[in-house]
Amino acid sequence: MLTITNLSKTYPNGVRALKDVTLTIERGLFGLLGPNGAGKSTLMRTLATLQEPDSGEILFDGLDVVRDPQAHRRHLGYLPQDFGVYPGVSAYDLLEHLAVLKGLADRKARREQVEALLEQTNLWAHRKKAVSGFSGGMRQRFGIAQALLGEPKLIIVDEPTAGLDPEERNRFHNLLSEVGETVVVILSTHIVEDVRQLCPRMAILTEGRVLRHGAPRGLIGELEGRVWRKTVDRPAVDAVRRALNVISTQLYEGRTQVHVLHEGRPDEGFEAVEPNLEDVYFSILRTSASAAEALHAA
Amino acid sequence: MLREVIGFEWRYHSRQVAFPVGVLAFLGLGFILPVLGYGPPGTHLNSPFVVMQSVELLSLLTIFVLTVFCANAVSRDAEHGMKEIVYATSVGKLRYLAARFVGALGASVAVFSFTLVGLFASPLVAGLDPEKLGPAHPAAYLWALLVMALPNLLFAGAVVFAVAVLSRSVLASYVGSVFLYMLYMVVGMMIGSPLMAGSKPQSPGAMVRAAILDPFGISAFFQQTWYWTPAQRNAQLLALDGWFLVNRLLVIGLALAILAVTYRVFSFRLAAGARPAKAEMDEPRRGGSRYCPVPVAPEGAAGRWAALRVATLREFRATAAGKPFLALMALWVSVAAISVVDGPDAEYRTRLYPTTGTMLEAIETPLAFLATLMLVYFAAEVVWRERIVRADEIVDATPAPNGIFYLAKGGALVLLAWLMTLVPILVGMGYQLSTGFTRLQPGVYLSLFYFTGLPLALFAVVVLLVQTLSPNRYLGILLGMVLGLAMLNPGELGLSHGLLRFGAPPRAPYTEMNGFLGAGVFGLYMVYWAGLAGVLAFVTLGLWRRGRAQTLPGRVRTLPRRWGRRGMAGAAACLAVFLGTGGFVFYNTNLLTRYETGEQGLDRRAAYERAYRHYETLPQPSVVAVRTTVELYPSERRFRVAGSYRLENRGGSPVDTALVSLRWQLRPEQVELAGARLVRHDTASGTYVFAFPRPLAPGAATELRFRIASPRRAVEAAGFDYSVVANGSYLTRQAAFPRLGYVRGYELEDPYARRVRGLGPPRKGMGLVNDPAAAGPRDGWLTVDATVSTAADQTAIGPGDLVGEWRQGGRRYFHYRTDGPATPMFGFVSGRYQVRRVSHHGVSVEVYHHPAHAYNVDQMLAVATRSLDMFGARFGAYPHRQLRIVELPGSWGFGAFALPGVIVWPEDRGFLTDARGGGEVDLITRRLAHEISHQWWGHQLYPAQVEGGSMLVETLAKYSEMLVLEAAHGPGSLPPLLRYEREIYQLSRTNMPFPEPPLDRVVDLDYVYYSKGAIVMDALRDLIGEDALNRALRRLLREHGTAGPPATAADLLVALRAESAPEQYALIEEWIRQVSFVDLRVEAASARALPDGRYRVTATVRARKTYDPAGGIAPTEVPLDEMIDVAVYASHPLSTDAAPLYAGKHRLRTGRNEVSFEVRGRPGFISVDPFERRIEAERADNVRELQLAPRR
Repeated sequence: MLTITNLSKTYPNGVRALKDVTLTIERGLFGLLGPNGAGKSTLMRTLATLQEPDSGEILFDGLDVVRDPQAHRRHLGYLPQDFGVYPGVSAYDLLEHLAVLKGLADRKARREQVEALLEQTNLWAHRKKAVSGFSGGMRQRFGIAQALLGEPKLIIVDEPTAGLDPEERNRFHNLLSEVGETVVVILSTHIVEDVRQLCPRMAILTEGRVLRHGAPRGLIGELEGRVWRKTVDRPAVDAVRRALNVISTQLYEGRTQVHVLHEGRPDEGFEAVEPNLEDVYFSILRTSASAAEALHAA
Repeated sequence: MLREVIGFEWRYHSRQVAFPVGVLAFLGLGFILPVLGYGPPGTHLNSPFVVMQSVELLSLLTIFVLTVFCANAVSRDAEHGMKEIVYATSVGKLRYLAARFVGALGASVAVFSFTLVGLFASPLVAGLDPEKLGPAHPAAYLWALLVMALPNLLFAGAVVFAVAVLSRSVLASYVGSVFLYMLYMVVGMMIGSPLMAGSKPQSPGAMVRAAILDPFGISAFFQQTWYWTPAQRNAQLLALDGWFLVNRLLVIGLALAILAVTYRVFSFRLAAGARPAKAEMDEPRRGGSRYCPVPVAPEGAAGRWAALRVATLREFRATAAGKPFLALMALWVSVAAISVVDGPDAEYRTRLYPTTGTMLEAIETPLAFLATLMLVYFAAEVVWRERIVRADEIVDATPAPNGIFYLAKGGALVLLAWLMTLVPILVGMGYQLSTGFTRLQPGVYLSLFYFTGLPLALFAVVVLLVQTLSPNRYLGILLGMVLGLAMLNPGELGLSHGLLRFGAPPRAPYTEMNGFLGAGVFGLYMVYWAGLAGVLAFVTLGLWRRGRAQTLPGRVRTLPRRWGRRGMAGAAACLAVFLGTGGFVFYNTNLLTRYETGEQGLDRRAAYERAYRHYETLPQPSVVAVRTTVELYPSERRFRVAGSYRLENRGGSPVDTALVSLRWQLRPEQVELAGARLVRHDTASGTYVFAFPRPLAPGAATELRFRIASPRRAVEAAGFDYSVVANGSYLTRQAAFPRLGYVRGYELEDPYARRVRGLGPPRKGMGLVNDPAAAGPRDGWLTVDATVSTAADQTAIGPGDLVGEWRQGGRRYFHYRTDGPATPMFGFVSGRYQVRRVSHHGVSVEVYHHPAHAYNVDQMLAVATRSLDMFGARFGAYPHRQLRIVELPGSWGFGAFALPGVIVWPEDRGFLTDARGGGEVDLITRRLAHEISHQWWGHQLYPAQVEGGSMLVETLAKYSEMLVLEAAHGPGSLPPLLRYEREIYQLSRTNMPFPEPPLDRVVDLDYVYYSKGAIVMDALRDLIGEDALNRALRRLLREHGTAGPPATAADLLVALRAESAPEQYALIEEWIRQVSFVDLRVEAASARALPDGRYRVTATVRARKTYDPAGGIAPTEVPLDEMIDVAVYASHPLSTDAAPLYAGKHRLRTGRNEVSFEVRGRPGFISVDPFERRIEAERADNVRELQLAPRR
């Protein structure tokens, strides 16, 4: 179990990346959803011991991550948002190299795992090729393979599906959910779909703050009967915006579909919608934005 | 648009950290050069010549600045992920490249121009010796920038830019720049650049070749100014004409050509290597399997070992197999090959046998230099590798501890350095075998890993720290360069004590006779520095970048936590080793013995002069007999001498005080003068002042008793004492015995060093009146009776007859006794020698040599017997019953030295000379005949210690040497030799800081008494004939030899006058008493065939003569009217050894002369003074091709 308590981080340039973040994350897949620049990567890197928080505490299975990063790394799997590799080193060699660094001292067990992971990530056929020459999807699969080396109890994957085609993404999701049955997996993403498909628990992070957390189902349930949809011409969108609490707009066949949050049907043109996770996400972002505006106005 | 783009480049570069760092570095370099006194002696530190030379030297260093800017200019798009964006913009290829190049070049020029500021400001504000400064010439700085620095920067910039653009790799750019630098050295060596050849005379053709080809114009600069005197150097600007102009145009043209090619080849396409792999492959997959975790082994040694091993291998492979390193190694092989082939090059264009020691010496310097540079560059590569390829987040999140990464990267660097150490060893062995030399001595080669490999490993620790502290690798590289150069040249920074020279303890050269002297001391210093390196390593480890780079202060704050208790203990242990060893060394170097810095040594000598100079004119007793026992302990490198001097008052007045001087490092146990009272014992300078309560009357005698131990055998702080070593000890009188009277040799010679210590101008080279009565006393002739004991397996050699030899207590004893009074120079030698003896007309000629060095012993014996015969017949009998020629270790810096009856001769100055191929110069004959002749000139004719005395010793020895050489190789062998001497003379006098004395006033200017002396003696012999000359010398020896009054130059002139006609004597006097030059020029020359098949040659010769003591400042013209040789050759005299078709003497007078004579055979060239019997600066115009006129 991962417990994050009052975690804060301010960069030297004054950006407050994390503000008093408190979260408890149980075994299984946990989705961290937020727009770009919300502080997701800062949180991920902090959990991956690559960065120290200014204040706050992280406990994993009772172990203090900040004070003893070395012990924490022993059961950590980390897939950074963006990574490179040594040029010219084959997938097999590189994976084995990382396996040794991870502490897999037993050569036979190490090789078996390396080979198994190459198969599971569908890289077996390319194992003798240089990773530096891989396409984005292949490289991402290599990334997950290396994150699974050893016996990770906490797996952190930062924006893993960016740049993957649908089939690769699917395969990736399957692998993650298989692993997630036994360990803590934190998936950071700005794609709602990923969270919806994978995560029984989630949190929404924006501007360094956790706005909501819980089970997606529960969060969706809170919106039950309060989300309405209307398709309008584009010029009319602004009028709707002014009048109602618009949580999202989306182009649909050249016109604009507006989702609004409202107790009861706002007017004739609106139809009731079954709320989904996206509505939850956008409604929360929207609330936070208007709160911030209100703060500014005050 | 181009202007905006360039403006952007400028702003970009000038905001890089490297910019201010470069500015500071070049400002500092410019400032420091005058402070260090850079430039030839006698030339103002701010003269146009020195400014030009400084600018060209520093312009070589801009290669590294250019590299930083060029590499950055080209690679920054790729590294910062801007490549696609920039390449896709509409900016044209020409504009893109032009802007990047102009920006990088402009930034470099801007950085470099600060060096001019430093050079200009330093003489104004640094408080330099005003005597060494002339008026400021601001134009000279701008001129140097314009004609020297700018073309050099353009050229170097073009090369570096081309490499950077075409490789798009930072590392390749850096390696390219080292390549360029080394290539320059290689080209310099191949074309015989004056920068490489030092001040060895070069043939004019070679100088022109170098002047054209040298891309940095240095050779062209030297070619133009080769014979400039200090006066010219102080005033004259380098002229942009002749070969210098040709060179500059060529360099600019070449630079433009390189840029044009770069433009043609460059394209905006992305590097081919990044092409993505094909998406799928058809190879059958193994059955899909479920994910199974594998437990991570518990923290322990096994896992760490494995991690360390793979990490080190990965680092090593990534660097060693990379193109930059391979290119570097390819270059290194060629540099090593050139060094190794050049290594046996020795004095006077002779060669040594390629012994392993010679190879080692040739390899060491380039290895240390290149490997240091390599470490600087590759440290940047390995430390930043993960960050450069952006694999840092993955790697840093693994549980491998920082120590693994640190050790892996450091280990890879050390392995690279050792790989570089191995290369020249193989090259050297290959070369040795190729010349048929099979004594390879792998153990000696392996010492490179110890003496060079360990300091390199220490330096690897330093550069790792530098890169860890540095915010980016460029700054780290610059800092690393500075530290590397500092470590390679600690002496330049004034660091002389081994405790202050990081990784550069005092060293003694390896010699075949004596092996590695001081290897243990070296090891001790290595432990000391390894302690410091350990501390640095722990600091590096504590500040190691892990994860998102923290600021340096942040990392410093977390250092204690990172270290933990174990890190703290480790750092403390290393610190303890550092301090403990340092304390031990300090105790030995500074407390047990007295340590003296260079400045303190100068102060001591100044104090000695102030305190005791007045004794020079006080009557002092003379040593007439030495009785001593000398104990040598070679393996312990110590000695003891004991015994007594018999002193006599040989002067005309009573002696009431006596001054006794000992080398200050010695430990006297007893110094007592019978009948005298010790008034003062000055331990700082090792001086004793005795007073005679009852003055010593003229003719009276007394006794000095002494017992002296060698300096305490401690850890050397700076230099080594070679007096007593394991094999090949040479203990001189000065090194171990008391000296009577004031020692003039202690006086400081440098005018500035004297003046700041309140002393008057130096007496070196002048100032001694040519009057023996005023010259003060000199050490008199004496007899020696010495018992020398040494190790059981060694032979000891002393002066005179060996009257007894025995063994006692596991040691060998030798009892030597001179057969009569001899000059007061004696010494004792001991070593494991093999001896060759021949008995020749009652003289036992003996060669004592290292058993492996028998190569030239036969020739030595032959030369020795021939010399004894020749000199005996011409000058008088050889005075001893034996002549011993003794080999010494190569650590002694002299060529050879003649003691009465004994010649000591370092191994690399004759015994190892490879005379198999014959060669231009017969060094063995030349040197041995010279030293043997000193048994007459020096040890029989022992001149007064006044000006001109050294002519009587050295010039006459030079003459004797030429007699033997001519007898061995024929008369045709002399002109090339004389040509060489003339070049040395002309070249050396350009560095003369004071007016040049003529021969009869020379004191210790070797180019006067050797080089000019050789020419004058040959001319003299030609003028009055060899018999007359030898008669004069015999008379001098008869009247002033052993028994007579000490000779002076005037006595030689008297003897010569008796043997010459008045007209001849006028010339002789001019040659000996003036600094005269002739200038001869063939203005026109033609030949006409005569009916009888002969040719009539007619030539116009212009002649003049000047006296020029001050080196070109104010030469005075004097009339010339003398007989001078004219010869005619079939082909150019410098291109052939053939005898001339005609040679005759013609009377030439100042102005135009017509000469006309008939020749048999078809004439090609006429030459005036073809046999080099006159001294002349410009000789090229002495030779002229004859115009063949049709037969009338």
